[in-house]
Amino acid sequence: MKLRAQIIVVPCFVLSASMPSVAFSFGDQDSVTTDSTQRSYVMQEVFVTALRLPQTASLSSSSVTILSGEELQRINASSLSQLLAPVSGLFVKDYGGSSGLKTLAQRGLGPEHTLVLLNGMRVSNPQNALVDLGVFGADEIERLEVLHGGQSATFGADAVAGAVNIVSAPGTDARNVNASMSVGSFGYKHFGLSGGGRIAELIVRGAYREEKGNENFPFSFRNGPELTRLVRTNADFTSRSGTLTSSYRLSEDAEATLYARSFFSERGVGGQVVGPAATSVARQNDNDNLAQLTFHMQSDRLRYRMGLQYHDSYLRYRDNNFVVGGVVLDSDYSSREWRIEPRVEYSLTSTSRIAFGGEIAFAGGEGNLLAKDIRRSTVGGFVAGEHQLLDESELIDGLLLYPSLRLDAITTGANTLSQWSPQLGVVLPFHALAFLEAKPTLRASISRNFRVPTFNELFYAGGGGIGNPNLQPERSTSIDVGASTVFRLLGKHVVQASYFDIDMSERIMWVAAGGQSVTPKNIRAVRSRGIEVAYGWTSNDDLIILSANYSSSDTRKTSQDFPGDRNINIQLVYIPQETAYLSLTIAKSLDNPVLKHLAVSFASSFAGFRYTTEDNRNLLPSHWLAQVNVRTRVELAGLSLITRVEANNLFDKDYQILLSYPMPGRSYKLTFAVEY
Amino acid sequence: MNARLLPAIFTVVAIVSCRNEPSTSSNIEPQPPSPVKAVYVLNEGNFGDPTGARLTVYDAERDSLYHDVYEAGNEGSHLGSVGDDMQFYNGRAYFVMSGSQNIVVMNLATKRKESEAFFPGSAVHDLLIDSTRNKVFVTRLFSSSVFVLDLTSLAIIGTISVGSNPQGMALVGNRLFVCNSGYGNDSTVTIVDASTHLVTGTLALAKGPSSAAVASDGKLWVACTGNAFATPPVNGKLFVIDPALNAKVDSISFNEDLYGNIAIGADGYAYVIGSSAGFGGAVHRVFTANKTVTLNFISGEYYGLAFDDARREIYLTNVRNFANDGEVKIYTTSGALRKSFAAQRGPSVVGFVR
Repeated sequence: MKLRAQIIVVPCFVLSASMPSVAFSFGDQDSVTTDSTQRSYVMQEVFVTALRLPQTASLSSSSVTILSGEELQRINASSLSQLLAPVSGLFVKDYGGSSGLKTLAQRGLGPEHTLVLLNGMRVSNPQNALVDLGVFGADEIERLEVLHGGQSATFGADAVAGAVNIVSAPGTDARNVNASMSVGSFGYKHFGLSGGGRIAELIVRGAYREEKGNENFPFSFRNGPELTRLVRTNADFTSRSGTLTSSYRLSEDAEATLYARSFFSERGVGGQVVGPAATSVARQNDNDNLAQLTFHMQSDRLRYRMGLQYHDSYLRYRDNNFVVGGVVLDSDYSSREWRIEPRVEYSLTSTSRIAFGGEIAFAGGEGNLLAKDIRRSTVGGFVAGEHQLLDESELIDGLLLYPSLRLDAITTGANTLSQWSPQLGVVLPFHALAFLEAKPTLRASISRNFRVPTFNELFYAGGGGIGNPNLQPERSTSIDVGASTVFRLLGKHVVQASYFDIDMSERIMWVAAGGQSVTPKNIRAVRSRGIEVAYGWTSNDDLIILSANYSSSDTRKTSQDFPGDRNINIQLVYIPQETAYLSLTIAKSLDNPVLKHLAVSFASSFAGFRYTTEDNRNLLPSHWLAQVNVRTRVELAGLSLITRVEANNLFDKDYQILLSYPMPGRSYKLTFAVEY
Repeated sequence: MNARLLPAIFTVVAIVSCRNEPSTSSNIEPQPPSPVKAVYVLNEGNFGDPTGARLTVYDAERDSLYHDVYEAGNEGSHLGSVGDDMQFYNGRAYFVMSGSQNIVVMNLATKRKESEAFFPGSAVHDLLIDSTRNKVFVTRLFSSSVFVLDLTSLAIIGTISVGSNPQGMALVGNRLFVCNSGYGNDSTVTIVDASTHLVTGTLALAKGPSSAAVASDGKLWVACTGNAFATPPVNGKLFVIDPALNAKVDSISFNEDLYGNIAIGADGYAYVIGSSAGFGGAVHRVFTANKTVTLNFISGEYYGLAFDDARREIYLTNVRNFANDGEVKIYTTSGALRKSFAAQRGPSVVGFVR
């Protein structure tokens, strides 16, 4: 193995205003009002709140998926990662079980190319541009907004493949207390308690959750014809989080909100299973604290928002079985970031709006695998417009133009880079047609996007890896063209299709650089193209809800990583060329004095084969998975009693998402919740 | 159309539309049996690949090449993950895999597995067979120790504490020399009594002792990598040890760090690999008699190194960044390329059965 062994340390720690568009929602955000005599329907407008210029979803210029309310309930999920997995075009890179790292990739690019936001503000870690999706509990999330395609004109760096905005559960006027408890396979236990209400002009919500599991699930290890049944070890986890949400109405037109969250976890890192004797004793601790203060004010034509965020995170990873130079591997990393984001939206005329604003952020990172303490400042400014170019006619509902431009100046250490990110979007909405009352919309957008090098890429100084302070940003051009329509035929149907084309240059890759080391370089060009199709149907009586999606992508390396590299025009590794998802829900609200709601959801997901080697000679096979859940709500003596029974990996498939990281077989979970 | 049929229709369409999975290198094709007397190449494989370590056999007499030789002889079973060392003894090949933490013993005639031992939690790395004492010494890469195994049963009969990140070993008489690489942070060679397993001494050399070989004059040559990460970087060095004195008697410095391996040929030269390229570098050689150094004797990017005493040829492996299957190049002692043949992923160790 020579000194190549050192290099494996690297991935362990690495190993990071557009006018979006047509939301795709089958739930209560996008409900249908049915008139039995006229059979007409009205689409409620869905606002994508992450956008700097909040946008009615049906008139956005790039693809958007929104999940909220009942839609989230249909998915068997303990964490954010499972909620996102069904979204068309997304692929969750899961390192196995509840404790394994979970990151998000979309449109053929890496996890570092999708920006993660919490309540509209960036939470991706500057160390590696990643967010572990497993650290957000599913019950903390009110709504998810997935913006597909390049969004640097809106968010600046890192939104190359898109962005995900997590909207936290808000407080409510009504005083309430909720308690929930879950037990499940492999020692899974969950406890949650939340409550709140209004006190004068103040709305408060507090929540606490605790989760733990052994994750000692059985799995099969195959060596040719030999099949060995093993049990996952050192994959246990414990996590705790607390959140506080409050909003205070300052006047009829102004409101201040506070959101604070603290998260802690301790877990085993099971690692790769490359043989029946392979064991791991590595452990990881995470601590994450975040506070957001936002101020909103609005008048007839003006909306003003000021957001302030503090975010710190700490990670410690230690492996007593990994001793180099007599020193046990024990790495830590901590970061802090302050950011302030003011923005103004102004309606110029009845057909034109403009938004402008900025972002000022200061981040610092320290760790014993970084060459030095790092400071980064980001100053960004944007202007975004919306203009109706053509008047409404018999056929079309106007032609909407969305230009936007953002400038970022990012200073890391002594180096400053400036980056312009333009975007232009066009939307052509049609009036409802006579045929099936269809209401189609066409859209297109083109944008320039970038990803700024992470702290690791710039200043890593671990065994075998040396950061490169001279790295330049990755740059890309993103094209997104799509169409959507709703129509009525035995209920409401929603169809959305997108074609994307991302042309990336100067992609940063860790390559061998002599001196028995690897170092990151701006060397790779990548072209990713594909289609995403989503479909939903809700029966007239709302009894049956069907949703399905399919994506197909082709993501190829188009340049040499090193002289003599033969792998040109080859698919990138760990990118499924196809994904599909099908969900069927039967839900009934009942008049029964006790049993008020009964719902059953079945879902099946497909991930196509993924190449595991750069020459595309080895692959992980495709897999279909199935899950089911049954949900009931009983009301008794002023209490709502909610029961949820779920089964995952229903057919007990042996599969892996990433090579040598086993995934659990069939598992069950039972949840009881009481709401008052 | 009955909309309630949509789920079934979707499922059928989705299944039909799914792209066919291509065949992969894990599909082992039937092949004729490979000869016993041949050049054996252990391919390291990619990290994390449980099937990565593969065996390639090259029949120099017939110029015939055989891939996946172990799989062909064992119904498709694999050696394991990260093949790091290979030794031959008494009609058997011993393979060491640090990733899957196992040693496999294969019969050279039948190519069938005769035995296997697992070492949970130990990244076993280099192996030395002491047939005199019926023992096997195995370095534990991340555990600062050496396992002593019974040669017949592969059972652990002792553990010897040595320096950090031990890699290569050499046996001179009753003394076992263990190179403590420390990945460039240790500088010592531990001397062990092969009979009692007691540490009898420690030699302080230079950063990164990684491999050792015995020259025809009985002197022990130790290759030290240096440390590219130190401030300032430390270049590689060769040391000549007189086992009779248990002392270093000479050293040769290089102007770059070394990749760590050394081979001493019947031509009287010691060959080492530099570290200036991606995975490895050019080959330098030193005449053991007078310590004359020829830098960049063979230019290129080489990872593994062996000298065929019978044919007096140098075998060098190129791993092609582990992004493609690698290759093996055969050079004459004058530095001329005689032949190259395709290996598999990450060819790292070359051995000869004559």
